[in-house]
Order: sequence, then C-alpha cells, then structure tokens
Amino acid sequence: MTHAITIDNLSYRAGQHFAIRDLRMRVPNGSVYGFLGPNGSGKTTTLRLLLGMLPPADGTITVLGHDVPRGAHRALARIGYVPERLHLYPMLSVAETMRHHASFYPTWNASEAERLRRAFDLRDEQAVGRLSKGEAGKLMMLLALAIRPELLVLDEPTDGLDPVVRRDVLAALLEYVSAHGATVLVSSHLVHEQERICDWIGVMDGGRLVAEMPMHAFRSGIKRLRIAGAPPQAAAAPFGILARRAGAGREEEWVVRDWRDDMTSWFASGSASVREVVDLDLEESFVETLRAARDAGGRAA
Amino acid sequence: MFGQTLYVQWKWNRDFLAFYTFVAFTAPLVILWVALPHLGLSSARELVRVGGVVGIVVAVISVCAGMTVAWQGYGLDERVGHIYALSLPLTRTRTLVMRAASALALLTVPALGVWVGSVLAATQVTLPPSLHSYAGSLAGRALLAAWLAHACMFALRYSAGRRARAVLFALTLIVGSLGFATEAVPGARSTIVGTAEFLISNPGPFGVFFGRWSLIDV
Repeated sequence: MTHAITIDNLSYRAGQHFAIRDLRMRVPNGSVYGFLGPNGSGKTTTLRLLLGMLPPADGTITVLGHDVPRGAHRALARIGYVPERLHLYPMLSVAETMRHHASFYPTWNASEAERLRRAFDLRDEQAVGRLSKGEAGKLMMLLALAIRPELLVLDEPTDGLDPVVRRDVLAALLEYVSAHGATVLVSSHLVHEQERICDWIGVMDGGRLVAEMPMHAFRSGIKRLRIAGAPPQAAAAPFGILARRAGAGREEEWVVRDWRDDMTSWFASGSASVREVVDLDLEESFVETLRAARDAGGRAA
Repeated sequence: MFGQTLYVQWKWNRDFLAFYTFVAFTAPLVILWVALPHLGLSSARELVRVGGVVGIVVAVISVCAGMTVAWQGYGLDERVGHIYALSLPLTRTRTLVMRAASALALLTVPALGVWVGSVLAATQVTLPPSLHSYAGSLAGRALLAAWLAHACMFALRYSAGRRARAVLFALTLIVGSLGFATEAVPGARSTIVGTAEFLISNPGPFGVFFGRWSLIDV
C-alpha cells in the first residue's frame, strides 16, 4: 500500500504546555482518512506541520512524495486545503478571490469553479468579509476542489455549518473524491460525520496518535463485554483491553479491541463466561479509545 | 500571479496610497505658493532654501508611505493568521520577492505625485540661470526612500510579529539613548557619530534617507 502522507517521529512544541511527540502516521493513497480528537489534541497543528506552515522540531514528513517543509511548495500545488476558519482576504469579492486563487494553480478548472459557485449559490460580487459562515465554508471548499487536487486536507470543514450547507459541502466533496480518486484527510470532532464518509481513522489526544486503523476495524473491532465469573490473567488476553470496570453483582464490564467471536473461548479457560457482546458505535469507540489512552498515559506518568 | 498579488495589495492600500499621492502632489505646490509672495524672483538663496523645504517634506511623506504600505500589507495577512499566504504553492523567498516588487509598483504612485506636483510647482517660478529644478531626481529619490522604508518596516514586522510595536518603540529608545550618549559620554561620541555617519551617508545603507533632498538647487 502506498501512502499519500507519511509521518515518522514527528515532534513539535508550542509554548510550555503543548507538544506533539513522536507522531507516526500513515494516510493511504485514495483513502478518506478521518482525523478524530478532542479540541486541543493537536489535530490542527499536525495538519499545519504536514502542509509546511510550521517547522517541526524533529522527525520526517513526506506528502505526495515531497519532503516537508523543504518541498512544501511543490506538495501544496497538488493539495486543496480548507482551514478551520476563514483565511481569505476580506476585502476581495468572491470573483476576485477565485481569480486570485486561480493565478497560483496551473491545474485550476475554471468551468468547474463556476459550476460549484452556482451550485453553492455564491454571488460574484459578494465581499468575502461579509459572507456568512456557511457561505465562507462553501467558498473555501470551492477553492480547494477547483484546483483538482490529488490530496484534500480539511480542518473541521463543516464545523458550525447548518445541516443544509453541511450536506452541500459534503456532497461536493464526495462527488469529487469518487470522480477523481483523491485522498482526503479530514479533521473533525463530529464523530458521526466521520463514520459516514471515512474509510480510515486516526485518533489524536494530547499530541499523540493513540489509534490508527481502517474504519471497519475501528467500528467492528471494539466491543463491550459483560463477563461473569473470574476471568483468566488479563495480560494473556488475545485482544486489547481498553477498559475494565465492575458491573452489576459479580459481573465485570470490559471494553476490548481487535475482538473476534471465537475469542469467547479464552474466558472459558478461566472460570468466566461472556454473557453479552455489545457493538459500540463510532462515538462510543472513540470515547473508550481516548479514555484508555489517557489511563495508560496517567499510569506511565 | 504577480498581477493578482499586486491587485490585492492595491485594493488593501489604495486609500492610503491616494492620501499620500495627494499630499505628495500638493506639498510642492503649496509650499512654493505660500513662499513665493515673500521671495524676490532673483533671490537664489531663498529659492534653494524653499526647494530644500519641499525636499524634506517629500522625504517625510515618502518614508511614511513606505512604512504604511508595509505595515498594512503585513497586517492583511496577520488578520487571517498568515494561513492563506502560507498555503499557496510558493517558496517563502518567492513570496517575499513578489511582495517587494508589488510594493515598488505601488509606491511608484505617490512618487509620480511628487514628480507631477514638483514639475507644476517649478513652473510657478522663474529660476535664475544658476539654479535648476530637480523634479525627476526628487521623485526618484522619493521612490527609493519609500521602498527602503517599506523593506525596513516589513522586515521588522516579519521578524517581530505581534511585538513589532514594542520593538519599534525599543529601537526609538535606543536611537534616542545613543543621541543622548554622544553628549553625556565624551568617550563614546566619536564611535557613535562615526557609525551613524556610515549608516546615513552615501553609500551607507540609509544614505537615501539623509542625502540632499531638494527641488531647487544649483
């Protein structure tokens, strides 16, 4: 499998309290990679590092075959970027912004840009500084898609948008991706939205990537088990244990990952039995993964 | 690409440019218009002195124009966190070169104001044979001074970021302290004055600011 983005041992420090430490990340070519994490976990900083906007303290970043930050300008010519907040010049009109943006990208597709402008109901003469949040989100997505990028880096692209605008923006994104096979790295804390569109998932917390796996593994591999009796030594378990809590009566509740149905026999090797296996949705899986990572971090500290 | 960069800077700075161009255009006319009734037509010394006043006013306007365009231009990107400029597929060097070139193009506008105003002002007086008007030289010097002031201010903002005001204030304090030191510390005078002379006299780096600015000269 080839990767659109490869990050190894990436470190970065901003101020006293925030640091990205030894980050390793792989975004497969052609995937829609959801970058999940709570606010302040380092998602935006990581995106800016891989776009060459911030200089890493250590580590290597390769984006579309270019070393970043040294070759960032070459990579950026093939990347459509939508930041979390409006980053365009406020005194330009929509048409002027499109002309300005087009002049930097030889791959700019004017007819596609015009089609998207009409579809998004943006008027040429509207000043960017006076656009509503939804209109600004649509304009940024238009600029990102009209350069026909091989990689789309989207930082909370639908955050704060109303459901209608969110649907329009996501529809345009998915239409482009299905037509061109582009890779998408989309950061968000809207877990259900990620579940709908992503086929890979990375979970960031406290400047660390605490999980990275295909979406189906994340969605189907994390279970909540209701265990009765005395289970065998947890250290020997053939699955990962994210959480272990006391349940009702003498029961325990385990949250596990990499679960397969045939693993119930492992409990029988002790004097325990699995009473119930509950599928977790993505949001619950996300919360349990974060909780486990924080517990592990706390124990390590 | 350059045209669009220039257009953005023009649209953002055009009110200030219009102001400085107007002032640069009218300053020579107004100064000569005010001074002429008090001068004899053959008073060469007085004409040179008035030409020098025009030159000093043009110098101040040029430096202010250059600094304003730099402060504003950088401020535009600062408003949007520099994200847009950094996300464009350009090296930082190329971005800076395009900014410097667009500043030169924009600052040509007030310099043209200086030139047209100076030419018109010079036609108000009949110069004695020993004197000449230097409208073109004055406008050229104004353009260079404005561009250098732009470069200094842009460098300051680029390196100091949000602390630019504090750094500017500190620089002013340092220059003031050095000026005071030339009087208060006898041993330091020759070093400070020597360094200052190197900086402000031609071909020193800031020579264009402090050379002879005059509309009318021998």
